[in-house]
Amino acid sequence: MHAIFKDALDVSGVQGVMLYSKEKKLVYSAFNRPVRTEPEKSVEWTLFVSLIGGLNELELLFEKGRLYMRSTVIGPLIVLMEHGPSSLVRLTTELIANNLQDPRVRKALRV
Amino acid sequence: MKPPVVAYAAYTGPLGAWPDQLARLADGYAPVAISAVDQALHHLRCNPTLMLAIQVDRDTTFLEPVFNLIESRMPDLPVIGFVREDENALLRRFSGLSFYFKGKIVSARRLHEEIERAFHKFGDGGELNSISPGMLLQLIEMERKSCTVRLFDSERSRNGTLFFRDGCLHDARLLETRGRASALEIASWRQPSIWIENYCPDRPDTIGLRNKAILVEAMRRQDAVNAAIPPPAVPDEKDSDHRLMENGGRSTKAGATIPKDQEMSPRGGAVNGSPLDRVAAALPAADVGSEPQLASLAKQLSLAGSIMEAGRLRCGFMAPADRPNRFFVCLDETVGIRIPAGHRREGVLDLLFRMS
Repeated sequence: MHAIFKDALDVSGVQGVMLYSKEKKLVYSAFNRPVRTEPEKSVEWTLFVSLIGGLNELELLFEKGRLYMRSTVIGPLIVLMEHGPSSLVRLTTELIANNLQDPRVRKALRV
Repeated sequence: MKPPVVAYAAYTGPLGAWPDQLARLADGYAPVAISAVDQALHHLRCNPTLMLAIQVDRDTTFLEPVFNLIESRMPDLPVIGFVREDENALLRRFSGLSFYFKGKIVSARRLHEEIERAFHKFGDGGELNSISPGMLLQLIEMERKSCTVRLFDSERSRNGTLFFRDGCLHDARLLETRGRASALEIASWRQPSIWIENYCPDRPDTIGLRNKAILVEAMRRQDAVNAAIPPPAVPDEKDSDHRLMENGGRSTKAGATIPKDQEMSPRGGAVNGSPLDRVAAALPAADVGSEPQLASLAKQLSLAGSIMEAGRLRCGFMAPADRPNRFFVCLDETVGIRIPAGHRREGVLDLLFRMS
């Protein structure tokens, strides 16, 4: 796991993190538990990412879970989580977004 | 409604117990058992059929007309065949159209297993349940995929097939018809079940239009259909008065009377009343409106719920790059909400979640 995502993944209730490029390619993903649809193989996540292209921030509340997205210099950063306060997730993704501006971090992520 | 699978037993005599047994086993599809050749031909021509399972006992004359129809009109139809060895010669003649031939006649359980396996095979590129064909056209064009997409629209009980080469739609089939008209009809379906097979047979281009042109025309037709739907009937005055008296009412601070059936239910959702009114009452400082574009986007975003297995989308917040931020809540219609600065996002989302 890349260190800059650790804080977000350690937040209580967070199920996983995905970072996509602006070209809708998966750059990074890590999950605290197995998921039904692996993003590497999923057409569905690519489709979802194509829908959120014009958004700086998005928060969706479903019956049984929550999705938070914020745009970064690389592309959309998506956090999947259980219901609960999202302020800590917003803070950690803010830090990730700042870290992604560092060319060394981008090089490590091969973008 | 589940996608229909036709089990055609091409032999004379009673079908026995397997149709009932198969119906009990079937989960995710609806089996239709047929034994007469005329009935089979009529069914294939007039009814949605996502897959065909054939059992042949002795007389191949019962098989040939059905195969001729499939070969000439619907060669993309997946066929599972259970036949005796001596019919292999006939099956070889039609080998181009058959995906799954498994040998001799079997039990209902075996048939069920093969149907499940066939669903898995022709969904090897993904199974989708919450996107429109329009979105699918854009996605496949973006990915430049070559694939066969089978769709079942439970609203209209119809199924169709779209064929893509390098992301371009080049053929479509709806029952016996093929070409552009079929593509336009399929592209206007709202939320069909979709199976993507990572294979596209070599077929001539019957469409002659770019995906975007198909999409725009399909949306225009959908709008025309929506505009033709009459508004819901308004109850007459006598009925309204009667219901108001029956339900009682409550007064707002402003002195207006709200019927009891428009109050919030114990679960937090309103029992009745316009969604706009309900949101406006819950968030008096907000600018509340019904926005078709937002409703359409929210519907598409609900895709994430099915990927995450998180259920229905209830509410959300979005900050577009080029427009003001807004909340939304999915009630009978999707309501867009703009809230003055100073409100806590968590608090608003919590309230909207309880309302929905």
